[in-house]
Amino acid sequence: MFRVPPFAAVALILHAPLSWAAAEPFTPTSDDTVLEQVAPRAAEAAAVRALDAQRRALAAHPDALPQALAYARKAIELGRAEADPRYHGRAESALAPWLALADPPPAVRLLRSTLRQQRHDFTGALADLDVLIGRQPDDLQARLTRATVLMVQGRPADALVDCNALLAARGNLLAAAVCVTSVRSLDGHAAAAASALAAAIDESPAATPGERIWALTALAEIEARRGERGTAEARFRDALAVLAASGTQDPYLLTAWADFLLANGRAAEAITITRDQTRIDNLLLRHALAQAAIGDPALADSIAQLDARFTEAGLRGDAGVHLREEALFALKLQREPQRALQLAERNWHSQREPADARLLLEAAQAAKQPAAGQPVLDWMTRTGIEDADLRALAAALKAAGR
Amino acid sequence: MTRLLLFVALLIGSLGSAQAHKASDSFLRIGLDQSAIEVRWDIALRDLDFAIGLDSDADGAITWGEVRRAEAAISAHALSRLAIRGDAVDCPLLAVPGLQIAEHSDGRYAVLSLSGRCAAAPAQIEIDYRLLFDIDAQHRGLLNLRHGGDSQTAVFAPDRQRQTFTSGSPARVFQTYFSEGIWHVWKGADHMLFLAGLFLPAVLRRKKGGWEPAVSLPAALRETAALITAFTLAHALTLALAASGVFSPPSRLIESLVAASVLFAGLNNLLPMVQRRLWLLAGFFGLIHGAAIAGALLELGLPVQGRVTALLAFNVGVELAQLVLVAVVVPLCFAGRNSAGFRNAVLVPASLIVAIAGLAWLLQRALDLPIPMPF
Repeated sequence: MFRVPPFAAVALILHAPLSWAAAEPFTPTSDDTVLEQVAPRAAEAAAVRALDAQRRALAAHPDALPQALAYARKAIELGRAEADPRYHGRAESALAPWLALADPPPAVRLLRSTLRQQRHDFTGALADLDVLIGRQPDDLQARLTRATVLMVQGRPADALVDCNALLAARGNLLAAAVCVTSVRSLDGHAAAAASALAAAIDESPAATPGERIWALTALAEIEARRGERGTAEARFRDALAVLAASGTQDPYLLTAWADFLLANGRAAEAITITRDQTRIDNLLLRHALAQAAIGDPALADSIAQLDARFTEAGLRGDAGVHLREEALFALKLQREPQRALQLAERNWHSQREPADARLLLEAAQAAKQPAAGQPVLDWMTRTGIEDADLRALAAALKAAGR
Repeated sequence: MTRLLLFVALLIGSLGSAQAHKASDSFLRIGLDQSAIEVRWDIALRDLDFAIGLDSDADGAITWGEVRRAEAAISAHALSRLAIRGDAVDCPLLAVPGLQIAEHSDGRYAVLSLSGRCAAAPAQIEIDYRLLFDIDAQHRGLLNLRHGGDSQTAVFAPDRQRQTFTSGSPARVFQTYFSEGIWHVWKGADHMLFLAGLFLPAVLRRKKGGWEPAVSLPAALRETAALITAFTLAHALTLALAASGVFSPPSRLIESLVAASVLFAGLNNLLPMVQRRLWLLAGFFGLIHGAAIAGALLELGLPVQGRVTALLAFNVGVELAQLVLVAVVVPLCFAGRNSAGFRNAVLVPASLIVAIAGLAWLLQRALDLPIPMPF
């Protein structure tokens, strides 16, 4: 190496548009003014406190692997329930001593793959999962995670291999059923997948509320793609009932339900269900989309908030994580079709779910560049996906391209 | 089974769900006016609560009263996670009482004011940022540094906790990079060895089975200085090209070529291959060495303003250090050029060492062989 140690001291200056405007500071007038909630609801606040206590215990023994794993799992669960990546950063910190190893213990590697997936580092997540499954082909957790990542990447045929391994292991049948039917619903077998999943849910009375919500949401989305609106709504309502009874949070379900309402011209209902959830970016975005649909004057405020959130996320160099949401924002709310198309195209490189396909087709149409939608049309032909909205969009785009 | 159930819980909703929130950031605004430092630091209340606990009545709501009463603890925590040094001398910071609150896109933040003073107006500011990294690996510190007229930005991360910023004034940039150039010669082992390989034959040259001493010291000095200058000029050319991004040579190839040049310089003294127009050879190797240093420079960053000044200053520093080396080493060697002791104890072994080091580097860099190096 040509050594230049003194240069290690010379600044690394970024060229990104990083100047940020600082909000004007203020001094609250009353001691009783509530500035922040530790968590939006009491149940989560207790969980946050429990996590806090766990961290303090861990701080005394930072090299105790079982405790660190327990803490990291708890933090990841909370991060999911709150849709808040802060908790994922905390999980990563607790695992830091083992993440630094060339070959981390399998349990740590598994959590790392989940954390990487959350950050949309799908390549990194797959690398970890390939190692785990290569060493232990019956690692069902790794199989399920890998199937998930492969599905997000639009590789249903590869995902199916892992789902079939889950089925063959006869461990958790409902999980295996969600896995298999989610894949088959994307490759031209949506009707069979829907009835198989409905049957699996009926035959799994022992499933936890979380599993039921997961399975019902997946089923509702399959039915929605098939154009079976009534059935889809019934499954969404089943899932929401389980959620209400369990007293937990599920941002994914709420987002999917809001998307369903928006797609069916029911913006007023979408506003109601997202109103108290605007702390979560995805739901704030749906809230704003619903406001736009009914001409709510509060829309400007929501757009300003979203803009601030995307800008601040960009400052820290996380722009890639929000591509889907940013493209949707640019397309539907900022009305900048060219930029939306660029974002949707970049998003399509990493994420290829039906929602990403729809986004790219809509952006191509809005930007009057039908050719830009070609990768999605090819993908639709290749997978044989059945999706009523996608079909309609594709037909419109082909007509425009002529 | 239990293991799988747990995992389903982890996965639910991650089927396609994007990160729906911003991860933790703090906003650090530092203004430097001569030797005086003023800092505004916005830290999320939720992060402070997690780090030191703000919700003293544990009701899940953080009130202004709770924050106000925790001001001393907040300041102490923040001060223990931030250090500023001006020209490698600590610039102590103090909290200015009167904590405030600001609204950011993901909630309310505490706004801390800090002030400090460096011993003198610094040319280089080093900022050491360690807030929250121990408990949140995804935390980032977003810096906006105002220094004289310019404004610079940077992001602190667990693997980028300490960063240094140079003042934008051309004189300061020149001074900084000039000394970096001098240090580059003194600290770069391969640079020194290559030069040594070039110097030695100026006073004593292998000729048709025998050794031919140089006739006069001024001639030997002139010849060596010409070699060195040819080297520096060529060095400056590729360094400027590569640093401005015009071309980016593959680093492994360039590093291997540098090693090969050291090997060649050593061997050339023992088994002369190139005898005349040595300056051409020096110039050719200068091109390679310039490309190599550019790679390291680019990795570590050049100032946005004053890029040209920085490159010029760096090369002037390199040249000056080399000329000083020539002025000291060549007369010494010249004095001993006629003794067999110099030849057998200095020239031949030194050339051998140069050649062996070059060979070892070459193997290490070209073939990835794990050869331990003493330097």
